[in-house]
Amino acid sequence: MLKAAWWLFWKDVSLELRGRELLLPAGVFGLIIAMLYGFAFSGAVRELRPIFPGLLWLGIFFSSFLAVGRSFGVEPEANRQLLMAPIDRGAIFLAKLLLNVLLTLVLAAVLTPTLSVLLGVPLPQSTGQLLGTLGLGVVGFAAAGSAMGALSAQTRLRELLLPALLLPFTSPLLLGAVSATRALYSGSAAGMWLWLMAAFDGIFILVPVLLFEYLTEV
Amino acid sequence: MRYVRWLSLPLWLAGLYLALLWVPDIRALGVSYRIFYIHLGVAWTALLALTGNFALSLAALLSKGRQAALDRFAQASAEVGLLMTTATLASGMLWARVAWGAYWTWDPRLTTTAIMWFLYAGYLLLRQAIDDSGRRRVYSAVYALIVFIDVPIVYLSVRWWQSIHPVVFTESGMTITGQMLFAVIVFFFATLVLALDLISLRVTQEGLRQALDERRAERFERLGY
Repeated sequence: MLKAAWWLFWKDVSLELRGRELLLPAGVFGLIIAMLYGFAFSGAVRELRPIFPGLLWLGIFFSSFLAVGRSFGVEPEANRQLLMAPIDRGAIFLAKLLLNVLLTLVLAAVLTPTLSVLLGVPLPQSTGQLLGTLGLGVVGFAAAGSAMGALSAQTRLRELLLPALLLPFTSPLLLGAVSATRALYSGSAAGMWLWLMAAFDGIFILVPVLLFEYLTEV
Repeated sequence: MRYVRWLSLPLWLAGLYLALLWVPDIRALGVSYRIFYIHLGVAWTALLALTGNFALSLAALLSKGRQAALDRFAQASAEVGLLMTTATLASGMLWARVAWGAYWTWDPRLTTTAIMWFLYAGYLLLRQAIDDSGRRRVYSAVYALIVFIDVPIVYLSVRWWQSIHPVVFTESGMTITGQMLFAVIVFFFATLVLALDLISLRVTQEGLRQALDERRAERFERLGY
């Protein structure tokens, strides 16, 4: 199953490398968000640092959202034929999940320093903890996004439905990620928030992988 | 099920009498707290209906022969659960305006209930956006399972803020007793019976609608469309 997932993931990555149909629009949207934050908030608040964690995670969630929402719509014909392949159906889902993790990681890696520079808020000192927090938040969002993306891609509304399904669903993740990032600035303990995010990640990687087979049968 | 309907009205009237006239005022809260009887009844019923939605969705996913019927029950219980959640939020907000001075605070229970409202509104949106009945059944069941797992995580995450919501069940037992408890129980059953009534009504409606659709499709086929 893992091997099949890896090859399917690689297929999507090479497609993305040739076409850049997901990352480019999502990345540009992320940068636009950074600019809009500048218009909306700078000048109004003397110091952006207290709200920077929230701005950062909203930026990451909203821009990833575009890429994640589209990922199940890539090559619909090939996806249908893939169901005939002698592989575990969970592998198809896992491959999309890996793709979404990669896309969201790239977006977060671009957006975090950009927002830091544009809003004039330095990143926290402890790089390792920042990377850990970003990683947990990004993986959780990609996992939940893959599950909801798989559901919404086959509906009449397609991506239009995704925000209504995904954003309330990921609210504990957003709370955890923002609180953990805020704790990095204040130097207080973020342990329980990291555990919460890790639990969210684990559960919503495992459960959709197990349930995905049902989705492919209808 | 048909006779349940006649039980709902007297129970509601009895509940209203008990809650509005029979129980004494609480000195600290005055008359405003009386909305609490409605609030608690609809809140418990909402939780039960949404738990029912989870169980019915699971059953609809695993069942071999009775999926369509189970699916109708799952849909109806989500609809009624959402209605009761709306009533919970509305009655709670009215009370909060009087007791706390604001319609809305970011208290864990309020926040969790609001998120739950969005999650189950999403369930109905998802159902509406799928035309094929088989796919609608499976997709909405998978969504219902994932969402039900999410609710305790949502609650845990928002509980890590300070809570100001009154708690009925504590470790030392219930905080309401005597007349109040009796009124609460009557109102809870009144709401529960109403919910069951609405669910059975919606299941019947959906069943008829699906039967009608099938007939229509058959007819079209026979006419050679």
